[in-house]
Amino acid sequence: MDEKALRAHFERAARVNVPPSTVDVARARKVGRRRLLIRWAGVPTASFGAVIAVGALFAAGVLPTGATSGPAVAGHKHKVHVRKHEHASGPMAPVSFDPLAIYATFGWLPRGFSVVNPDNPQIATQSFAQAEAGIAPGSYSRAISLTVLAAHMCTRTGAFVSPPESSPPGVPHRRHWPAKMYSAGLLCQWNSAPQLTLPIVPAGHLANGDPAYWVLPLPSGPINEIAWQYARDGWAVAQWYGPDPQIVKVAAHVRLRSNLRLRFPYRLTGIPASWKVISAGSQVEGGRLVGYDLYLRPSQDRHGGISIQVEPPSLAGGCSNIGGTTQSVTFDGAAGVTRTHGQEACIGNLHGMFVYVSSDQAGGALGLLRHLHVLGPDLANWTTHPLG
Amino acid sequence: MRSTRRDDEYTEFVAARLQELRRVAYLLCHDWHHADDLVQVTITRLYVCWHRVRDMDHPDAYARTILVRELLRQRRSGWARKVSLPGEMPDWPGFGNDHDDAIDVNAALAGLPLRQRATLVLRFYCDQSVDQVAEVLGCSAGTVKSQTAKGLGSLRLALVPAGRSALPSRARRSPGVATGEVRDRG
Repeated sequence: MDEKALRAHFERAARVNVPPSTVDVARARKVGRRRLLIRWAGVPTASFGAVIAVGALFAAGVLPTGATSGPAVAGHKHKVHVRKHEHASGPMAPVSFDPLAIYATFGWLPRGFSVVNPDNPQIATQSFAQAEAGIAPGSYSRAISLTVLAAHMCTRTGAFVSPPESSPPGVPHRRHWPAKMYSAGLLCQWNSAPQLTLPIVPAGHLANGDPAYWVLPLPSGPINEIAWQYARDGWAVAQWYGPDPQIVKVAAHVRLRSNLRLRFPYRLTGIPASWKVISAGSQVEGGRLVGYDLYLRPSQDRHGGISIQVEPPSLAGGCSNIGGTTQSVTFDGAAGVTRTHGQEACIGNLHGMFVYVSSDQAGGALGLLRHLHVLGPDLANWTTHPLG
Repeated sequence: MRSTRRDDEYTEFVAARLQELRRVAYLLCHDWHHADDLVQVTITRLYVCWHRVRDMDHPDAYARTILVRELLRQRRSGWARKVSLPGEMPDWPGFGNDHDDAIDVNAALAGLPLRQRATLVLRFYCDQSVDQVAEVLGCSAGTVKSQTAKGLGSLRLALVPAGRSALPSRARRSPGVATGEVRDRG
């Protein structure tokens, strides 16, 4: 299967037996228009026109009336209360995380759950830290994902009043949805993705005192999420699939600020002090969470940089099917290939480890490899300081 | 309701791109029903930010970005969607004489991690550059390149003739790429 064959396959697959579309453009306009109106109405200095628009929605019965909680809307006759500063006196959330350290871990998991290798490795960046757990490695019918976001990554938007479009599946029985509840919005920046507003309803406080909110599920569900404010200007979101894994207890026991440093199977020397670690990938190895993937770039650049992946060789091992035009190389006695004009290099077995690096800097991938010291497959030899 | 200029522009834009968005969504999730749900969410969000989108140089790319990132966001919660449960056959199209081969390729694609599959779709169906794909997925160009290589390698491994199966053969994330050594074993 090469690139040309894959292109041809995609072209065919996308055009054969295409069913009629069920996409409703008119509904998209209607729902989008409502979200715009509610967003404008939630701003304390909302224009007179927007306030009138909200009033019209109330009169038409689109929105619940008789609410006793929710944000204030200037000029509206229902005085509502919003808890804006739940963590006003507590510690601030970190402005950034160290991708080389584990910031958030599960302090408690239901029986049978353990931290597993997800298909996508756990990624820590300066903006968010992730942890994942499942009922068994390789089985995703019951799983929990935890994302902790750094300060300034989420903001509460003004209220919008939108009852769930369908009964939330998998919602614990103790939750209820009184019509008078207002939902607010949690606007988060997910890994530089387009900003996404999560509709949330108050869920009280976790056992540790953090204010918590249920995230209303998407119509396409089942997606179950709970969000909570772990610090001033700091939010965390846990998502689960399958029956409720006592998510409230899981959330309440999340351990933060552990700053346990990841162990890496390599050291990288010669990196200028001005460079930044943008992200690190970790996975479970030998029962422990270890680092294997690093992406660094010069602080002044938005793109480019270097990336390193060093991990135990898989069943597949090797690099001979890396694709594209490759050139064979030998590095430190180990066979490998380079491609993309020397910007990428793959060594199937270098000191017992699979190595894949890329670099758009002077010297290319081979230049990067000369600064990479692989520490072998024995975890005891791995380092918590992979740089320098 | 009185139609506004905004609505007219938006409707014209979406109508012209609807089928293409559906195709991209289908290639990503291999389910037309889910694809339509994804597109519905995408075009709704497009409406909300239409005032920005209409002035963009590449509004099509922005629409694809919303679509892919929405699927990735859903994926963070809906693991079971990407797993072919034993005994269940996804909704795959037939290709006439190439029916069996097409099923194998579809099964192999379905077995890839979503980010790898998204990388391959964006690069080889949407013809986006490495940098463009990196922007969509929020990762480095190096990661896009390695994900592309891993994805192609995994496809080759899954399509090895010995023991051909219609179901994904991988049960865990493969940290490496497929090799000729596997073919030798087969």
